[in-house]
Amino acid sequence: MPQYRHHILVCQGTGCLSSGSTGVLNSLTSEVRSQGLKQQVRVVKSGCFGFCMQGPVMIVYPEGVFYTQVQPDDVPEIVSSHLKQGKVVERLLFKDPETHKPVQEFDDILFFKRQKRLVLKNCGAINPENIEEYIAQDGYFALAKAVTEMTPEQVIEEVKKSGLRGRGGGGFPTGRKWEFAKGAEGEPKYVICNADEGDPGAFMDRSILEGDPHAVLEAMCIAGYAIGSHQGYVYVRAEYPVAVSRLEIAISQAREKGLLGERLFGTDFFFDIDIRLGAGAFVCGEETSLIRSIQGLRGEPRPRPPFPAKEGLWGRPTLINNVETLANIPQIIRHDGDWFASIGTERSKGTKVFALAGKIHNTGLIEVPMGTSLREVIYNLGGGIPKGKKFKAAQTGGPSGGCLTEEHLDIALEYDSLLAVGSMMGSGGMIIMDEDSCMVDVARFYLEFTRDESCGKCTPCRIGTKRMLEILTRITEGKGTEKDLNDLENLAQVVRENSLCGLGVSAPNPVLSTLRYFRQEYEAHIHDKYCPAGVCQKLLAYEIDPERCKACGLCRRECPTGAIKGAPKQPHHIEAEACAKCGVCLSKCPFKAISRGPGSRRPEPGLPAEVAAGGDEARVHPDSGSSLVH
Amino acid sequence: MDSVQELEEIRSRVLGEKPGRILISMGTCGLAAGANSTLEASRDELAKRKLTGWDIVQTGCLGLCDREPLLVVEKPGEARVVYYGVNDDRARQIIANHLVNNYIVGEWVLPSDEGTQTS
Repeated sequence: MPQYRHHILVCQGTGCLSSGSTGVLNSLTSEVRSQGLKQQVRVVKSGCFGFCMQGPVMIVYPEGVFYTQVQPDDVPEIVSSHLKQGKVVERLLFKDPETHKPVQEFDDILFFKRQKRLVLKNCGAINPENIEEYIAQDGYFALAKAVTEMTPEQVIEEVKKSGLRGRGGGGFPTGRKWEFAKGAEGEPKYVICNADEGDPGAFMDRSILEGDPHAVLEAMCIAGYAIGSHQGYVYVRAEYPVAVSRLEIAISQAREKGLLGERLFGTDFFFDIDIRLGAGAFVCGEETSLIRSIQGLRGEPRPRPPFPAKEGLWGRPTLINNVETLANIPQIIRHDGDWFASIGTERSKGTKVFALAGKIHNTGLIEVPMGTSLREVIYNLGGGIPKGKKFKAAQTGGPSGGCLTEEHLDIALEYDSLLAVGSMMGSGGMIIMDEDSCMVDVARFYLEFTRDESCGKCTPCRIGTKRMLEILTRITEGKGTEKDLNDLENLAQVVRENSLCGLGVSAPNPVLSTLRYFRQEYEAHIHDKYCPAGVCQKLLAYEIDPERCKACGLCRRECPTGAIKGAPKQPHHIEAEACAKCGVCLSKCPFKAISRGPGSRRPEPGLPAEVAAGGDEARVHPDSGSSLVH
Repeated sequence: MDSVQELEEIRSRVLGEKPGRILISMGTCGLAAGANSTLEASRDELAKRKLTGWDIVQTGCLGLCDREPLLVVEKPGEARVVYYGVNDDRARQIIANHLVNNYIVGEWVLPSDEGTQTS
């Protein structure tokens, strides 16, 4: 049996026959023979493809090319061009009038169009495991420019001119950091890339390392050249396995190409980079803890000064920059500092990557110029809040930051404006909350995180976060008192002012900012034993819809506390005092007659009604606590 | 590496003419959404159809983690098209329709106003 290179199916259905496919078939058979392809091409008559309006049609395998409206005159071209040279006859391909023409071109997709992607330029556009693709996107040309055309002083000057500030959270001017490290006495010096991204909800550093690792390596080389260092370390958490393996590949490819190692670009400059894995402790993102961790010690901070720029890794001058900060460097050198400084606002230059998470349509990563409004980020890039819910707050800066509320929607996202309203830029994690989020619960979540991650070295942080968490838990369980709010505020001040490192100093931020903007929610939990968002388990109320209840008695039998009362053929009901909110009845009811909701406000005995009420009236249940509805 | 010329040579070689490229986002988000099977299916389908000139590029995250796996088709001189939610079956159909027959599968193309909303 001969091995055919192509099989061609020519439709011989009624539709195509009437549009002339017999002529096409005959012409094809004779053309294949006359062009000497009889041994390689097999022409097959086929049944109807169901695409009769575009007939006569034929399909060429193995590729599966589908030609429509083929006339006998077209056949010689198909044979000589497609069958002989492998070139598809484009003009005979089917054109869809709807989808084909004004197609949604990549650059027209508003999600991308509204961004300014500098740091993420290569993410999703090149193969991070192939150094040549990075080079094709002008990669390593900045390093070449720096070491062959510029002095270290000029490199630092450009970075200073750019106005770049640390993207890890602090916002310290990068150029000045480099200058300190260069001016520090001691040899050898080190460059560290801080890739210990730990904020819940932030993943821009991971994405950069995964999508464009060479940008970070190139930047570290440039930094090494500028400050006089010959060794760099990337401190990355082991929980980022994809990032780690791509970094490893990137480093070995850079060494192979001679872009790391001795005599870079024919100069005397040499630089190498190694990876150090972290075990994922949040505190190791703090630079002094990070340094100890690299040295093989327990990850704990030490008082500053001396700053790492003076006494860092193994007591030597060390420059530590965050991943995103570094990823900006090659472009600053390739263009110049002024170019970078033209983007952004007066005091915050360039762009910022935000990781959108939570109650938002597009969870993902976006990059916008500094100074873009929160509204633009949430609605125009994030796609707004799903299910038509209302925006309530955005947590920026993760567990170290604070929340922005509706009144801040038009705030410009930059370092200083965020600090002014009690939040911070942080690493750029942004968690969006809608009306169904309980702010007390949010504060409790972050406190639980910092309590877990506190290294325990200093007392204010170790004990303060624990006590604050206890108070918050109490409030969410409906056991809070007015005094708890005062204690919480006092404790927050103590922890903030006395902790050793940034972890403790910033740990109270989520509590303080939710207290500042959502105090009435705390009060509802404390005074009314009511969670307005219907989140806090212990404050939820279970109810039986008498219309739906068939009095089967299943819930009554399953209820562990005997809180459900009812008789045969009579709708059952739940006695609130006895209910343990376990939810068994909800899962057992075959008629979906049981619902869970925020329930009604239950005032503390003796509290005047006006104090106890306030807040969302619509959620007050109509048939109980009626004295509270004003 | 001794000189900038070497970098320039690599750059011009990589940027040379090709029939086109398929980019598959393979960051952690893409991998979690099943980009590996998208990749396998794409490779298999290209081989099956003997589309030898095409490159499959495994890239990082594009930022639209919610719509992963994302697959971008690049043909020189034509629109770059982003497909979303590309499982292995969709990948095969995209290759048959878009690469071979120049027919863009509109249904799975990321709409231009995706991820936007007027507040």
